[in-house]
Amino acid sequence: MQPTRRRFLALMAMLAAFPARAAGGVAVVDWALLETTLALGVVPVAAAELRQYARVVGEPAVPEGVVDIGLRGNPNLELLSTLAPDLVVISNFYEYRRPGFERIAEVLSLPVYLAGEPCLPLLRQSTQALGRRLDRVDAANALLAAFDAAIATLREARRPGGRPAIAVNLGDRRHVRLFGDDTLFGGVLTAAGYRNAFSDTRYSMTAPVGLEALAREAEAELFVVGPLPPGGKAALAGNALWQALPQVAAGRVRLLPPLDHFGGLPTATRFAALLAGGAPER
Amino acid sequence: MNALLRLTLIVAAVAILAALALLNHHLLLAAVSGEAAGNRAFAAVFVARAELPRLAMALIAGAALGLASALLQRVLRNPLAEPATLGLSAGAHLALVVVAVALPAAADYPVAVAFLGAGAAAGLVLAATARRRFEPLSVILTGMMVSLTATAAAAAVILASGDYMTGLFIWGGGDLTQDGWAPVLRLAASFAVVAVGAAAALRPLALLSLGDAEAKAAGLSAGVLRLMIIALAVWLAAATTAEIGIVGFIGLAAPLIARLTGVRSSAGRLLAAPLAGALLLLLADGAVQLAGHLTGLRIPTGAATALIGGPLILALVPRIATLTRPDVLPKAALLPRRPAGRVLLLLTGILAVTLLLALTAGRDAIGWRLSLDAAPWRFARVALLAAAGGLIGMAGAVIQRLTANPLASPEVLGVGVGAGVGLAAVLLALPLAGVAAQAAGMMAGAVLTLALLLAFVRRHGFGAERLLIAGIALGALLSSVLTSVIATGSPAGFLLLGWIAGAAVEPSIEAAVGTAAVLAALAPLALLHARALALLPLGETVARSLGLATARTRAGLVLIAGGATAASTLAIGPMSFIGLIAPHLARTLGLQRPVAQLVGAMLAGAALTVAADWLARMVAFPYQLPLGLFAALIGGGYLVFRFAGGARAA
Repeated sequence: MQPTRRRFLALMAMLAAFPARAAGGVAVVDWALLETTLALGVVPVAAAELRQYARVVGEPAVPEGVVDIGLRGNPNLELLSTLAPDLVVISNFYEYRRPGFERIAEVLSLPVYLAGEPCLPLLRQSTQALGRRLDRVDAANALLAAFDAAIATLREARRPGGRPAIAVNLGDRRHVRLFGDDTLFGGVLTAAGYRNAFSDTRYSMTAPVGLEALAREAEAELFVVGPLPPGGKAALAGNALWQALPQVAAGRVRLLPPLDHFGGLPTATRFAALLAGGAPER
Repeated sequence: MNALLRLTLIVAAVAILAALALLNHHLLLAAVSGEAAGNRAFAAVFVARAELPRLAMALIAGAALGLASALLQRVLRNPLAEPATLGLSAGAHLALVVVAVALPAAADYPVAVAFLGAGAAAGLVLAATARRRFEPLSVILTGMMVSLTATAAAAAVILASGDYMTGLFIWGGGDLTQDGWAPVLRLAASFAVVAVGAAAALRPLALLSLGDAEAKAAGLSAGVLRLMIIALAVWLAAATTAEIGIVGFIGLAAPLIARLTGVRSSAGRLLAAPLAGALLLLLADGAVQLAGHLTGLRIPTGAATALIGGPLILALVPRIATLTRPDVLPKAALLPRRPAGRVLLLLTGILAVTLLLALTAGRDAIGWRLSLDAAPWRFARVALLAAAGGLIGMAGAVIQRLTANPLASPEVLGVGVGAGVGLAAVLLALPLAGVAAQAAGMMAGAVLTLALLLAFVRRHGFGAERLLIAGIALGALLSSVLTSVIATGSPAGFLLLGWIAGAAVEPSIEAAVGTAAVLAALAPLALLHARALALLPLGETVARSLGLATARTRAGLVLIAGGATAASTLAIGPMSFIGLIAPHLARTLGLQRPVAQLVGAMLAGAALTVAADWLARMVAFPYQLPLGLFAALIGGGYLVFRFAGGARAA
């Protein structure tokens, strides 16, 4: 019993060391809007699932002191209520939990991804709407401009010859997820003038497909968005099927760092910059 | 028998031809699709490193499942024993998921990890049923509970680890895709070792089948032999799960086919079962691939075999007459008997304290605290959980008395999983459906499942065993549908995973009032059946001779228990040990009469549910973990403590 109690007291002391926080500020539940909020130069009082965010998204980093309110799909409303924010920012994904948020503060719900609809126009609108609501109109316009510039750079940097492109995330040794037209990365490819070899997929709605599907588009360039499956690059090197893929055999494959597959404009800008940057990442 | 033998031969021949046809078709398609893209090189690698190993894997894994099940069925003398129904596959799966997330370094030894998981599951099942001398129905019931719990725990772990787990998704549904020969060779080695071990155990096994007394007279330690053979079977089941995930029901069908071919010698049967298993899995996998090519739908092979296996159990029900042995029914005199009033008062007090703490104790950004501030946020939740816990406790008490089996629980009726299929249908049809539409879908699924169960059991008479077996079969069938949806890795799949793990959405006052109303309506109905609940455990004949119209009474009780399970499932998810433990706890505390036990089970169920939920929300604060995980931990602990401890004492 003794050690448990001591640990309990230590935990309490640790938690008590958190700085007391004045009421007010903004809480963000959706990750795409969280990275947008941070990119606008606003530090929220609270945000959801920050441990996983640090692993999957990473950039822009969340400053110390932002309170983690737990899972995006199951945020801790009790904790959120004690923080008493002025505004809770959610996306259409969390609309079904709106009543709970409305008990705490005004709710701003912005659409980010709708099945079958290109997401980039939605993200532009949502970025501007968020900028208006947070009094950061100039910063929002700067984000849009940075995105446009990254796309323009990618357009110019793109190798001539007009190869089609495929953007995938590796699920495991034998399966990939394809990023079609209604996804962030598919949208960037199309905006930069690529032909997406697998445009007609719905990432948000379809199953992972077998690796062999990629062989059908032998001429395409292959962009692999992280994270890699367990084993990482070493596992890929030992994967005979992967090595036999025509794109891999011909060296037309690029491994990219982990990016949020449902990210906001900052992630889209990063993706475009990574593609334009040329050298393979990590 | 001659006609049956001929029929079987014909069926086998057709199966072989069909398998070959599917194989040809598939190899052709792969080669053509590769070549069409101008890619002969990839097509060649694909056939050599993916298609042919897959074919070999189907054969060897099917054989492994067939052999493991034949051994288990022989040793346990249980026609329903196999890796899936005993919880071995789910235990292995859970161990592999935990290791993949928490201890990636150990993921290099998948077979050893899987063996630990499967071994733990086997140990739990055997320890819990030792006192009932491994009576087949109890073994299967415990196995299914272990399986459901491991599934819930695995779902919780996958959820908590985020989006990394595409592989676990697919593979949980049983996936035969290969990218080389190493897994096939590994499994073949395990198969060879176990086959040799089984051959060595064959002669003593034959003696064992004459019965314990004869085996002892022959100077054999029956217990050690049985344990050795079970360990071999568990190893093979674990090795199979490590390579291809959970593939159920091959193990159920293969020994049955072996028996139907008319092979009589035990050596012949142990040879025929792996052969039948290999053929079956080859067929199932071919059918899945063909369906994939024709429709573009990816169905995990394991889900497809369960789809075949559910009806198979239902077809077997009339053949299974002797799953319970009258000599091992527990003697009520062994359980303590205490004044009901005092025990119920104690339980009420415990519930009151639990409710009070659940409403006021907790954490915030600063630390632990005890205050009334949180109560407005928690009131609806605590009320809903208490009502749902009361319902599931009551349902458990009714079902345990109805089936005269203290290991039966509401989960095995399949009603909860039926609710999940209803939820899946709603999520797939309307991806952004609100909470109300989701609840309606769950209700419809639960009601339909209950109707199916009633219709089936009515046809075969309301025997306790048939009710349980039909429930298990329905549950297996429906959970294969759920597995398929989850294996798509879509948002709907993710939501379903959350639901299986027992992560209820933020409850509303309306839901709490509704659930409490169901409890208020069903509890008096159950209490009105007190006399039937006292008589039914004594057996059909006694009940009938005392003037109980048993068929109608049983139907009524099934409806009450099913309705209560459905309502609680909406609130706390499909699986928890609470329906199993609460009535048990009531009896252990000395509440032997039906009315007292029912009320006691309701109180205990409410307190347990509220406590499990409070823990789930506080342990990883501010992350709110699934309630199902904690209910399973509490329940699993109770099972081990109670049954294994009891077995030692006996």
